[in-house]
Amino acid sequence: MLLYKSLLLVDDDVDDHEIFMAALENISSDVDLKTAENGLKALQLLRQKAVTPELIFLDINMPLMNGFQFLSELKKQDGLKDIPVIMYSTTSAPEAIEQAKQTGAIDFISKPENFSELELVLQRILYK
Amino acid sequence: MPDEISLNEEQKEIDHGNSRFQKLVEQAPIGICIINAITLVAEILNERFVQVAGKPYKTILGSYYWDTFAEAAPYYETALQDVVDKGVKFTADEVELMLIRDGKPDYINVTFVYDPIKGEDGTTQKVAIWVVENTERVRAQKKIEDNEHALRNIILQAPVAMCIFRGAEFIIEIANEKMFEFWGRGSDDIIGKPVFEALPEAKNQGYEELLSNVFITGDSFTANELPVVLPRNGKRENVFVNFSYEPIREVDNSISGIIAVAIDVTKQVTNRHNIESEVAERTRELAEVNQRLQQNNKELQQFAYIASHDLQEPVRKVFTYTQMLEKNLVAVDERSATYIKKIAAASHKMLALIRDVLSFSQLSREREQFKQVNLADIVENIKNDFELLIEEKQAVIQSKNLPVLAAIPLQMNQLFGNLVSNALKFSKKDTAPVIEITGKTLSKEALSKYKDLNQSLEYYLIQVSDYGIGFNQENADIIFDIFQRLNSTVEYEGTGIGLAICKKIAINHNGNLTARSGLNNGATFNIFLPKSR
Repeated sequence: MLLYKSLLLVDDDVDDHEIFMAALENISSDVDLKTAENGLKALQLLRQKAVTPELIFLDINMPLMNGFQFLSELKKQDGLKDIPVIMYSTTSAPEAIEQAKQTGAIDFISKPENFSELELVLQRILYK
Repeated sequence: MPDEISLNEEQKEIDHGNSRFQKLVEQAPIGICIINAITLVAEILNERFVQVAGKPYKTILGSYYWDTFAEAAPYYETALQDVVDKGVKFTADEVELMLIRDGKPDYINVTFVYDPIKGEDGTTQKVAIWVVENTERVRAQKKIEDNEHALRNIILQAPVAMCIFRGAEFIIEIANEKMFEFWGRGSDDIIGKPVFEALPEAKNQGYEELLSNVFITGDSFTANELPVVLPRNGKRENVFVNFSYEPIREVDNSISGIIAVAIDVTKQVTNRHNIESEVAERTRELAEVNQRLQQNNKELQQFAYIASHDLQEPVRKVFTYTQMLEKNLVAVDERSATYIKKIAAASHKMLALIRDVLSFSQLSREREQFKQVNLADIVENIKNDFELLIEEKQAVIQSKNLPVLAAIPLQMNQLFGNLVSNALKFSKKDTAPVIEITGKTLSKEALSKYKDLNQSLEYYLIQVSDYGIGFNQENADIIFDIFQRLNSTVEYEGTGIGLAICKKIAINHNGNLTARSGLNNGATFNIFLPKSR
């Protein structure tokens, strides 16, 4: 059963948008994916209700507003704070994982080097 | 007849008087011989005299004096005659005399007196010869004088500065050349003067007290490497001197003076100072080099971090896009397919290497974050991390006696994570892996066998054992070398850094990591970690 029908990917790396999208396509055609280049843009889109994701994938290292800054902001906003957020980053540093948990992310995924693995992860997350 | 009776009584009195006199002479503590002034015949003598004379009583008594003492006649016959003629006492004080005593010539020292005994008419009737032998005392005295003479010579010829102060005024009795040099004076101004008069510049520097103390208490005094300024060769030179004051004791143990010795130790002191300053210089240089090295290290670490961190991204993308390419290419000839697979494999390896290098370079950085870590919790975390793999392999991880200790939590995670990951990876095919992690305290005795460990700390030994494929014990050391692998990458994935990281973590914590194994017999990794820093 598909758990989330709309996703928001916040990541400054355009290539990662492409990879994510490609993997997603192989998993499901029913899921809608929106992207934002950084935390600030993402907040704007969310506030303006230009995007209404059921799940947010959040990169950490981004210009203007990084992942943790975005997440803190998000948690302050009624109506937005309950949207589940999964950190999606190249780093796997335990400090980052810890901070993610503290800031309110429900999970932390290292960007898999393996395309198939990304597909598997997405499968696991999106489907029960 | 009254005259006869009174004559008898007089005679008796005389006799009585005589015998009293006789007793006196006998008992006198000095040698006494009374000779007739005219005949020079010995009429009375005592035992003491006989002793000194060294001739028998009977020989002396009643004999002509100069017959008895012929050997002394040449020297004293005239003197004796003078006494008789002039009635004036003659004294010979501490004279050396050769006497034939007991038949042998003897050199003795005597003090004697020729004392005229006058009659009522004033003429000398008898001569009393009083004699005392001084020989022993004189010999001792001579010895002392000889010794003093010898001492003087020693002092004069000594290769170190020496002098003698005599009396409470510390009169400079004798000093040698070196001491004059030391004082910067000639002998004329100094000998016979009290030291503080002769050397006014020595006043009020504490020497008065020093000397007095030695003189009064008899305790000797030494001072080492005292800096002194001496006028030498027309210049003022800085020298270093060891000097000592020793009391001079007389025969009766009283202190009569002080002997002072001063040794120039400038050379050894300057040598030592030179060595010390060289050592200080080297130490400073070493500290500088060390600092530069540390700086270098830091820069290298930063470089490694940045390089590997920034390298990860593009490599990851190469790998991922390669896979996507694989998927996308509809019809691919076999060769192309192989090429793509090779690209994928190589970039995958690159990624793993970069990750591990990054991890390794980061290890020394995290010095500050020591906390109380419960290793049981760490193992639980790891079981969670490897949940999928554990389930897949049906592995069992058992832990027991895991302590709490001071450590960097993240590094403990890495350490145990790597070891468990290895144990899972190198398990025997078709056998469910069993991994045992047990802890115990290392006894002092056991600790002493491990020379690499800090013997002043208390250590835990945590053992991670498996029943996997193991390795040849010969390789037990090299497996910890970076990039060293015992198996081919085809069979068992890995970069060969994992164990190097583990060992570095253990050493970071002041501990160590060793391994024991046998081919096909599983392996045990021994982690030594101190209880606290």
